[in-house]
Amino acid sequence: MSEVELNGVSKRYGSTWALDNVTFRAGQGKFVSLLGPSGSGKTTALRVIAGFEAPNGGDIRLGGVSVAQLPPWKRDIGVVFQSYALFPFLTAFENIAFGLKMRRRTKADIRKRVGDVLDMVGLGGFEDRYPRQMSGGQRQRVALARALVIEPRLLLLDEPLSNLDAKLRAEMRFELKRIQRESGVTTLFVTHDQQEAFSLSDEIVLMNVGAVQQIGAPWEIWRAPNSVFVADFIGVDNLLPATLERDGAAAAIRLGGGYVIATNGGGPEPGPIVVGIRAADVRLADDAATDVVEGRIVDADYRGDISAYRIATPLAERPLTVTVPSGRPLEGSVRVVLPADKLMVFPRG
Amino acid sequence: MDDPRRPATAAWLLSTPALVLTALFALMPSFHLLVAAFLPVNGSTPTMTNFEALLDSKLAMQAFWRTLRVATATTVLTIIAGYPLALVLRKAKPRLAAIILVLVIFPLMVSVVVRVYGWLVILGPSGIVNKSLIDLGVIAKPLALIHNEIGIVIGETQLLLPYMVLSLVAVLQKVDPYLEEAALSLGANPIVTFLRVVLPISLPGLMSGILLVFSLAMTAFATPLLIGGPRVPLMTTLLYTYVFTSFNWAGAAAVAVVLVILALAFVTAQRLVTEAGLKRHG
Amino acid sequence: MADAALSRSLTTLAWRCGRGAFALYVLFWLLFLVAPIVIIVVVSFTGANYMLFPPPGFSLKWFAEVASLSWFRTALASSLIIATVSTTIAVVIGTLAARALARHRFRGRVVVEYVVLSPLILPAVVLGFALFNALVLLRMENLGLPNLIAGHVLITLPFVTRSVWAAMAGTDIALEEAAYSLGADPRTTFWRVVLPTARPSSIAGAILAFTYSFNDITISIFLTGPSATTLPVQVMANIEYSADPTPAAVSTVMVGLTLVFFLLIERTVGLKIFTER
Repeated sequence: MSEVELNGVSKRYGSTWALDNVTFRAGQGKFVSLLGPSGSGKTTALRVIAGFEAPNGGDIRLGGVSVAQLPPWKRDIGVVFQSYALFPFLTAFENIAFGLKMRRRTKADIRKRVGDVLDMVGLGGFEDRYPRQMSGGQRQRVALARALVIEPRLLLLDEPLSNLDAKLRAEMRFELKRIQRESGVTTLFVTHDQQEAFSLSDEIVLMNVGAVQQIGAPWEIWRAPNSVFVADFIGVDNLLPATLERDGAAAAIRLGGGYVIATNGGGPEPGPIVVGIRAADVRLADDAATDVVEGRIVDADYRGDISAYRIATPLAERPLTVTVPSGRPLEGSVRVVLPADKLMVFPRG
Repeated sequence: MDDPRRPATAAWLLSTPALVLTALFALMPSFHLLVAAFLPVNGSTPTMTNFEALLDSKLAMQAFWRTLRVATATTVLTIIAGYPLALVLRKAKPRLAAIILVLVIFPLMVSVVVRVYGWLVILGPSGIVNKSLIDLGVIAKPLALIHNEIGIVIGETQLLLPYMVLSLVAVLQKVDPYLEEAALSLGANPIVTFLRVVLPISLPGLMSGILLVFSLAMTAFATPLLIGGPRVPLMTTLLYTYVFTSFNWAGAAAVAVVLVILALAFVTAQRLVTEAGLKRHG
Repeated sequence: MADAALSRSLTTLAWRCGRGAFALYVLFWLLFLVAPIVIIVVVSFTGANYMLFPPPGFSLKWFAEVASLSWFRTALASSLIIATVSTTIAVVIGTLAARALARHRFRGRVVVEYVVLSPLILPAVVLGFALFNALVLLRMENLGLPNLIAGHVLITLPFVTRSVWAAMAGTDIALEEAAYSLGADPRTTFWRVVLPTARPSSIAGAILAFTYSFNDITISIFLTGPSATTLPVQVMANIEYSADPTPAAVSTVMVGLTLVFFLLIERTVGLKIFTER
């Protein structure tokens, strides 16, 4: 097990930069997700680490030693592909044994290790099955076993759960976490699914258009997204254009319709900003509240425990999204409050 | 791996044996033939005399037109036979489709000699067809069905029908069956659905099949040689006669060049049709 | 009321008749496709001394006759040797070329593609004559087997190359990358992953190439001579010169062999390789 570091890695295809000066680090034994929409460069980053693509610039270090010059078969990295890439002409046993054969282990050693890892992924007894005789979930576990059995310094997973149906995905998420804990291997997990990344990772590297946007533990990113992109990606429903004004130590946010909310100091330069607030943080006003915004309900979505309402306000062109515990259905005019301490402020543009 | 460090030498090393063999046995001899076609019998300045001789030769011109007629007739027959076959293959249940597929593909693999021999037995003056027709009193004298264009057309049709069927099956596979169901649900009967939904989508494949069959028919050799006989030469059998009977190798070279040009023209046309088809229907 | 029902039943009847006629039409053409082969095979079992259909009696005497003919044994041996050698060459060399075409991006790749696949486009007559012409020029036209093998390589090599190329291009490159990540270098990956994955289609391609070589007439007819000949060419001559069912019996042997190859392909890879482009 080693830690893995990328330093200023760039990769260009023609005139497009798939990776733009990417730097991050995954500590030993940690589960780190590369999260982002398609085209964000997360899979490219994985392929560069594995050695399938050569970077145009930057360095990749495993356990403190640079591997950028090594071909993939010398990097001792386990890879689980999105398509699983099981060898169709080999049984599950032979698939898993492949890496051990390359390392010239003895037959007895191979048999024991393969047996152990098959038990670990819950597929004991599947040794003689061919990939075509297995379901998607089973194939995925064989692919995982194949990558793990060689005890790699690093485990790379390229969207391994995206081909599974919803129920299986949830199951495999648990399994994956458990297996990673048991084996203690440093793991990089590529996904576009924010929920998945948040539930599995010790740390998340958020990427967009080839560049790293934010790095942090799930709760850090959740609490404090550092840009409009990140806020939007993690599900902050309300992102409103606004202006930040400063007057000495005081600062105020001016929204549409003449509404101004005072905040304490700190934050970016005065000027155009985007204000974010979660749907669950917007409160319906009771009569005693100040700083109230008048609005009109335009849409209602009953979701069981909570209800989501879209409320047109003068604050911005788009309606606010507000979620409240379900009660009597609301309609017509309402008044909402945007608590200043729940507001996130980002520079615009 | 798109590793720029990977030299192209590996690729060239891998390809060289194949390149060498093909160049040695096919390309260089063909090139030599090409050159020979443009040289007069005694001389070394390039001329068109060999081609002019072909144009002047009644035999050669007849062979050319006959080839065209035979190829056209064959192509038409393969269409009217092949399209229904392809449609049935598409709709048939798996077991029936498998049987039909076997019947279509197996003849492709059997040697031409056997197939032609069979036609000689079936179509000959004392063959099955003639004997049955005479016994039934339909005709008095046997029909001439071999050693003429009719026999060649029949032989080439049987030879090339599988190609047409397979071309059509390939393109019909891409027609979404739900399209037909949509048409039927909107009130179109099966014939109209075919004409207005299936046929238009299958046109590129049909064109491709037509070009393939036509070019194969024009360059077929063994079938016209064995069924047609010496009195009804096509361009290909004419070449053979020039080589082994009249020793007119210059003429043979000229005919060869014509055949090559035709073949290349058809392949190019096929490529264009396939690309056009892909652009329209994806 | 009754009129509407009557016209509906008539329409249904018309459709049924139409469908029936259509089915008969298709059946006719299916029979057309196999008739010559079936007839020859059936006639070869005749007890008579002439080509009569239907054959008057059942007998294997013509097969016994054929087995005793020396020209048959020689020609059969030649055809088998030629087909085996040219197919083997095609498989070895074609696989290498297919690898280059499938996975390497290099300038001149289009040239390789056009050159190696050109014998599939050029008319067989032209190829046969061109090779013959070249051999005569080199005074090598009577070499026999080597000439035939050279000609047959033109049949087998491009065909096998194309088959293997399609098989390799159709496989997921992730399989090779998976092998790399597990510690296999490119050479090991080629032997242990690339070849085995392409194996079924390649085998089918090789079997087909063998069959086409074994059954070939067009190129062989230009290259046969006193020192070597092929079975199809000999049968052709035999048809012209003999009126008895001997050539029919030989034909049945050839059809039988072809059937074996056909079944081999059907069992290993399935007939879908013919229908997929």
